[in-house]
Amino acid sequence: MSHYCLVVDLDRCFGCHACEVACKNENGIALGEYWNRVIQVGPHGTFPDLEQYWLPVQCQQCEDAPCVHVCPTGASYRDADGKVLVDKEKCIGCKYCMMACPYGVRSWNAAEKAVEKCTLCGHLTAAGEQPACVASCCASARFYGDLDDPESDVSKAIAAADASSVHSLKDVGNKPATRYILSKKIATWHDVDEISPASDSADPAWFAKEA
Amino acid sequence: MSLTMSRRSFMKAAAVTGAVGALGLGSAHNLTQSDKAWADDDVQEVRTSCRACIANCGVIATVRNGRVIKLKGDPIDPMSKGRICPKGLSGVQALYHPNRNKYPMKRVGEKPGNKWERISWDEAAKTVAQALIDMRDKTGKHGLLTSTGGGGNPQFFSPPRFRNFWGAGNVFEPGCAQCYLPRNYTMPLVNGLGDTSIADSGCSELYKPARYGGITEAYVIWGTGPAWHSPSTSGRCVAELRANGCKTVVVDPRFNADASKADVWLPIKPGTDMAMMLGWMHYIIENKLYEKIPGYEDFCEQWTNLPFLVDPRDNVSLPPVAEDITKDGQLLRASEVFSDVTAENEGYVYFDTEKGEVTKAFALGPDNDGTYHPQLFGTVDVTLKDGTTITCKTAFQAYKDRCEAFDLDTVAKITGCQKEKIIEAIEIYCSSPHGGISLGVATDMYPGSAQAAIGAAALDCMTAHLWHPGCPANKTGGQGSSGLSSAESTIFPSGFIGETAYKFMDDEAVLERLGYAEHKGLGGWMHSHIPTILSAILTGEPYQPKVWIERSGNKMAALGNSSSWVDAFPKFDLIVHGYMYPTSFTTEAADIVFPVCEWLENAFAQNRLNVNLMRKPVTNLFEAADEIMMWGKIAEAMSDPSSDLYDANMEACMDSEKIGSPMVPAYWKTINEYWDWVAQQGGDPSVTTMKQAMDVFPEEWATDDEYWGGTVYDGYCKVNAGGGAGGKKGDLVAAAADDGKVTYTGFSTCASDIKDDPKKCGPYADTMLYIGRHGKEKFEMPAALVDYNPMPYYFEPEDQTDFGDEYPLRLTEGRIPYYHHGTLRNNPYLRELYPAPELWISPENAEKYGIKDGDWVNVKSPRTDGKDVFCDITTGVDKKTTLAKSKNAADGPSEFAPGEELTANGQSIVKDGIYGVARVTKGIAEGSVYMERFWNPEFLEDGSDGRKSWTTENMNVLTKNTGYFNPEFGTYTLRGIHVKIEKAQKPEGVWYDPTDFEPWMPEPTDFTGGAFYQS
Repeated sequence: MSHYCLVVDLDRCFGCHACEVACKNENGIALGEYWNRVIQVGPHGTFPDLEQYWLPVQCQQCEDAPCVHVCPTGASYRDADGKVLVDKEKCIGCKYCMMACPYGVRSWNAAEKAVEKCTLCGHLTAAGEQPACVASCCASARFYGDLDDPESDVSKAIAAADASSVHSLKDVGNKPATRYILSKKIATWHDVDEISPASDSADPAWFAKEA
Repeated sequence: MSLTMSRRSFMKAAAVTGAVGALGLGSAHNLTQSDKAWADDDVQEVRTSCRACIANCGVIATVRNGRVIKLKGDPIDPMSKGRICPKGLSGVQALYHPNRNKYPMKRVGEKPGNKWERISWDEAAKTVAQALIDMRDKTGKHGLLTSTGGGGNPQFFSPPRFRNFWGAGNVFEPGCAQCYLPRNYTMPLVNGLGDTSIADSGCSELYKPARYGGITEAYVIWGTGPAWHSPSTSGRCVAELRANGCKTVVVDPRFNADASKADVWLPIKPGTDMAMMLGWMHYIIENKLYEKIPGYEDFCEQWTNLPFLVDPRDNVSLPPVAEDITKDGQLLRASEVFSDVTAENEGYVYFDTEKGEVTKAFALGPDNDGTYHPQLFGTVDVTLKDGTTITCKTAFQAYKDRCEAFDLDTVAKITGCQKEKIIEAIEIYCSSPHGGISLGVATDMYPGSAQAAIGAAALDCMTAHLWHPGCPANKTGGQGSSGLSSAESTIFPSGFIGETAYKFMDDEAVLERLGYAEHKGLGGWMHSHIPTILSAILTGEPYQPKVWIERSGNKMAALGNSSSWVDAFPKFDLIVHGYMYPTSFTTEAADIVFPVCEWLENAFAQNRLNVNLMRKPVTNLFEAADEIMMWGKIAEAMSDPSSDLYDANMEACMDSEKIGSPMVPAYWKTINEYWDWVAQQGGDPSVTTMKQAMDVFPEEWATDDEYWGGTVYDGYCKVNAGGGAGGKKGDLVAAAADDGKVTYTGFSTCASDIKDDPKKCGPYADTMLYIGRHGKEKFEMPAALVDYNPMPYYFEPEDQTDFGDEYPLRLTEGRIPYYHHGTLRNNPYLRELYPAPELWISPENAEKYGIKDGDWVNVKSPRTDGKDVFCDITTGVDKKTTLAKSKNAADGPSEFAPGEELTANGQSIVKDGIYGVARVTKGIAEGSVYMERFWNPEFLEDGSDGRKSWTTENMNVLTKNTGYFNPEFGTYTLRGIHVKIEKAQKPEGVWYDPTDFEPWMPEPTDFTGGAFYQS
């Protein structure tokens, strides 16, 4: 079994949002809909001794994915490589998966009346390219690959980091695969408890908020 | 490289295009008929160079059936390494924006207003030509005004080029004296190498790969935000440095991305940078850190002008804002001391501690190495050749005296930073010679611009952060061996690099440039002083600008105190705007509009370290054209001797033989000819046409081994260290006496009257002082009324002094990753990300004003409230020199004694202040607030009030073009202004929700070649 996912080095990420814009361009995502977004965490601390980092959030490729469990039609599924994907043909728009996802990374495509999310740019990786967010990343902070392959970019990034610097979003039993590298030198890791889907957000300036 | 699609790559591209189709890019919204018969799914990748900002990253554009469908970074670019930022990625949406200016247009109806009629290029050019000829015949050529700046891929030198060909008139851009010129001009005269702006693609040393010994260990990021101004180039580079263990210090009011990763963040109060610099100098001198830089302990003594003696008799005139500073003036000239020294072998002097006597400074070389023992501090009694004795300080003593009051307790109080943090920062800075200060645009944006540029460069001199591995000031790069060369296709104006055979302009026309004689640094880019221009427009004195050709980003969003310009527009006979889409300036001011190109349509040869990129015309739409055609067609309309519109200069500028300089090409008649010329500038002699260039570029002109391996370090103490950084003499510096002495390369920073160049770097900026008194033209200019002080000084921002009680918050600006200057506010994906300007405010201040995070706030300044109105500064100036007759009001209004208010009417338009969204954050100090420039193109949509596009969220109606301008550049105050704020409601009509921006989603069209294309 393989575990394809993204790994993000938050020591390097500097919040330029290129990954978001690259994702939207690559996947033709409508205004107000998001597969990937960058959340600012902080600043925390006492002025001027502050900490802050940016947390890009997209599908975490959970090992025990709640979205797949709750989907009544099999539209949310795991492919032969183990990637969690959506078959929009089968989606009936019940949005159970959006409610089940703890990270708010599923996006309602209003035009197609279907749920979407990060596909790890399968159309690019199948042709030997990197996902658009990884290719554009100005801080060289994003990595794509198979966690089970020690030679993959993601495995190497994690191996190079101190174990205490490797984090994941809060695991409520769903076992997210995506890892975030953040060392104490830059900032203390904060559990971001609830991330609501941006496409349902009442406040379009969500990106600018402290988490 | 064009790519014939293999099946494999075709499938890849098909997958891409399938996905992008959802954007509507595949739809058939053809505004322009195209007779091009495309083969099904003709997919190519065109390797080009971005111009969404000034970084120029390598980009690969995927083009399907003639339409650009995708952009990605080009890995060949050694600076961006295949990365691409939000601005670059938005190029497709910018290219196919539904509101592109598609054809030349003329105004029909009222001004301001947004009603236009399509006209031909020929009619547009002739209309401008007619206005220029009428002006010439009635009031003279000096009525021409040209301008650029504000973003939007302008040809930087096009406006001065046209003006110089025309023969008189003025040029400005809102940046210039407020952006980059002060550092670009001043720092090389101090450090002998170059400016340290990482945003302007300098600091190549920082990009050196580790395998070639890339070793920056201590990097000070001062008033610049690499992660956000150019994420893919400088942001990427600095992220790499940090990952490799480089320690960083960030001096910035904002806790920005680089601050959040830094070892020390100094949250400096806007406008106090010079105090901070003087504090660093105070600490460095007090603790003798200048002689503790590991490996370079004697650098200060041997290689700077700090031991040179200062002439105490020089009665320097001091700036009105700092009349209590030390009065140290020019360095003592050797001809005053030694009878055998004349103007022919003029030099500086120092006191030699071994010889025990005053000695003429000399350049070090193998023959005299070890014989130079200068006294660094204290005073020396010098007997002049006329027998009198004077007591002279050393330049370093003058510095010590200048910064005496700036102990770190005092500096902490002024700057709002903690003393311990300041010490930590200085200790990091001085811990290694491999590093230095990158000074950003922040200090250029207030009247301490020259002072901060001297300060930062002088600090690097005092601490030996020059010309060693890892120093930002270095110029890097060895030569290639393949016959190729580093290249750029900048189009220079006549008189900028060498003379032309045809004399386009006389000295009088140079001298009468508005505000130039007082602010001679403006000559560096051949520009004029913006407030002096504005006053001339409004008063007609010393002469009346009448025809304005403007080509670039929204001037209403970019000019300081921009509402003060409203009353200026009716004073012109004709105003022209060349841009890619309408802006507030178009609707407020323009009579004629020229459609110019987006960067994906333009051509430019762009060097990136050891690689030459080529910006290529990936497609060309409508009747748009590169701006060079706008200037060229206006000139061409006046080039026919048999026409009523004939002008001899304009005929000459169409004729390369008449111009007679290979550096100054004539205008081109078709775009194809121009593209071929650009292709020929690409550094590859085998390329003569753009058709070839499409395949050849990007191209490595030197290998990594040649480029990085060929960089000369510590080259100042090498004999004949040709090819290394700083080895090339500036045009200021005369050749050293030809007495057969072999010297080290050294640094060349001395004033142009010094003939025996001692080859020191010049932290004591004697050269700036000299320029203020004599200029840097081919002719002697009259001295400025205020001298260009050789050392930095600090003064409190005028808004604090004049209005601090009522407007308690000090405002700064700063870059964000989504926009460059005034651009891209109409870009749907970017406006979705950043729909309105944020106002950063500390939790303490937010509570005080009852503001919560996400609240809309109203912001006002003394400019919006009619308390600080732009005044007459020109009716009392000399007509020939535009210099004030004196600093006294009795001699008539000048910048030193402004007369009556001129723009109360215009400024009343913004009496309600502007709006932004509060961001309550600890990431800014109490008392400081931050807001970036903004404007609202949605108000230019049909049925909207266009004026609101620049009056609603535009912080540049708060900024200050009044009061004090610094002597060197005439810089006015864009940062460090004071404001007051209160909670407000979202202003009516602004677009804010993501789907609001739907009307701006791209409407792709086919290639037309644009105007002047020969198929």
